[in-house]
Amino acid sequence: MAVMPGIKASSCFFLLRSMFITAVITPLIISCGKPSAAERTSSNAVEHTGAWLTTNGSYELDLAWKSGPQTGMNNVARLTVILRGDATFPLQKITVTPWMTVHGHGSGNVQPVVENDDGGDATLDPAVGVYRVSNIFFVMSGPWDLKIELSNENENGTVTDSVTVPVEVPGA
Amino acid sequence: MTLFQIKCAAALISMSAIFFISDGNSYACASCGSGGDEPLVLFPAEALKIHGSISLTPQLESTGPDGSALQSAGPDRRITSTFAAGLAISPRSFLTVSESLVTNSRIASSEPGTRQSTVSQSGIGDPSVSGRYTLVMLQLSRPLMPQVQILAGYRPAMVRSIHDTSDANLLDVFGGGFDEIRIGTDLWLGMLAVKPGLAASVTESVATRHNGTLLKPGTLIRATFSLSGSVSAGDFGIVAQPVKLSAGVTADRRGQAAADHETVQDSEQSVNGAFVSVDFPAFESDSIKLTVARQGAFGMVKNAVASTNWTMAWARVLR
Repeated sequence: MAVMPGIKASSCFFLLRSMFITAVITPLIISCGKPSAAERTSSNAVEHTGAWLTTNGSYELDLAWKSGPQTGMNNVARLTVILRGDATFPLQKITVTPWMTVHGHGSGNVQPVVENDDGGDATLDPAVGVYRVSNIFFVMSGPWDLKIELSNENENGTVTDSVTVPVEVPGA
Repeated sequence: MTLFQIKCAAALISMSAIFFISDGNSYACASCGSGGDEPLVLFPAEALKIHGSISLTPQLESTGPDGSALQSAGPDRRITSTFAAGLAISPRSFLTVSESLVTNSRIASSEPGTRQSTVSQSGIGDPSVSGRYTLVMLQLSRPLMPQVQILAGYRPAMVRSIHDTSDANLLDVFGGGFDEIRIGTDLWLGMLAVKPGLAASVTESVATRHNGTLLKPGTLIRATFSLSGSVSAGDFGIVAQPVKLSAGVTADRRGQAAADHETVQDSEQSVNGAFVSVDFPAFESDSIKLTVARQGAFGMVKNAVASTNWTMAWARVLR
């Protein structure tokens, strides 16, 4: 009878070790390689950009990509601003801020640069402004927002454009 | 199965085999159930201990809200050197302070026909201070009574984060960007031959304004289950003291973030991890610990980073 407790203890010990092998080691072995394709799919979709009215309806904006959007490069876009209602030019300030909403970060102090891009063309409609937005960096692929803010003496407005930055396939 | 997976499997099966020859002795451990949240812990008989470690993360893989892998312009590789000191302030409690030096690296050019070069930047990471108090001590006479500890930690955001980076490749990002407060509990059945541990902690980030937006990451809950044991390596003519082994799994879940007090949809984070460590005694008061930890070991990785960390740590008991 004195042997019985010892047998029980060693059985429990063996059981615990077996549970350890199953519960801990197995997932670690499985995970040592690359992530499975089922778990890590990639998106190559690029969301279409279009025209939007600012929050106060004073401006209509259209953003067209000249290069990109891509991860890790100086993306450039052409921003067209059309006056609506009583809004007037010139704009005192235009800011474009990339923001990855689901991850809660942007591109830090690496901010886009906005320059007038009408090329001195006097025939352009005076109610239309054309701007070159460069230095747009996306630090990773995925869903991003571009927050575009406009302001002049009397008006200011904001537009948020959704951009899906695709995963680039090497050699594609 | 790739060659790498076969190598991993062989290494891990070898380690698990060591468990089968464990001598079953009990060795006091204050954090075997914590899953290595803290770089340094004090054993009951230790009053002052220092720690240094180097951790290599050869690959960092970000994921999106649907679990898909994202392409990142950030660092390809990270090396983290951590320095810590622990001080016992009573027989039941101790404090730990730690600081790290982070080196971020990225391959600058991998075009065919061009020489591959690596760019890197190094900087100090956010410091941290943490403490533990043992509510229930282990008792030889009651092996099924767990050691119960409460733990708390604070990590101030003191260095550059992704929110104020000046590098398009994030090589100058060494901190988290938010002050963090952590509380939790740690249960450990240290009197059993194979010692199960269970820990749970809650980390709350302090809302901070970045780029004109008041941001607040969701509350992070981390659960850890571990098993630890020891083997008398002296039987193999290596060292007289036992070699400690520990392995476990972790589950991290972070709730939705908020921006300007509004909840951000699809911003929840989840990642599961697994770790194995072996702790060798060296000389009289030193120890060497090797740890392999995989974040994203199983299950879906959502809005988080999957990575494998290889860590070698050294600790010395000064008092």
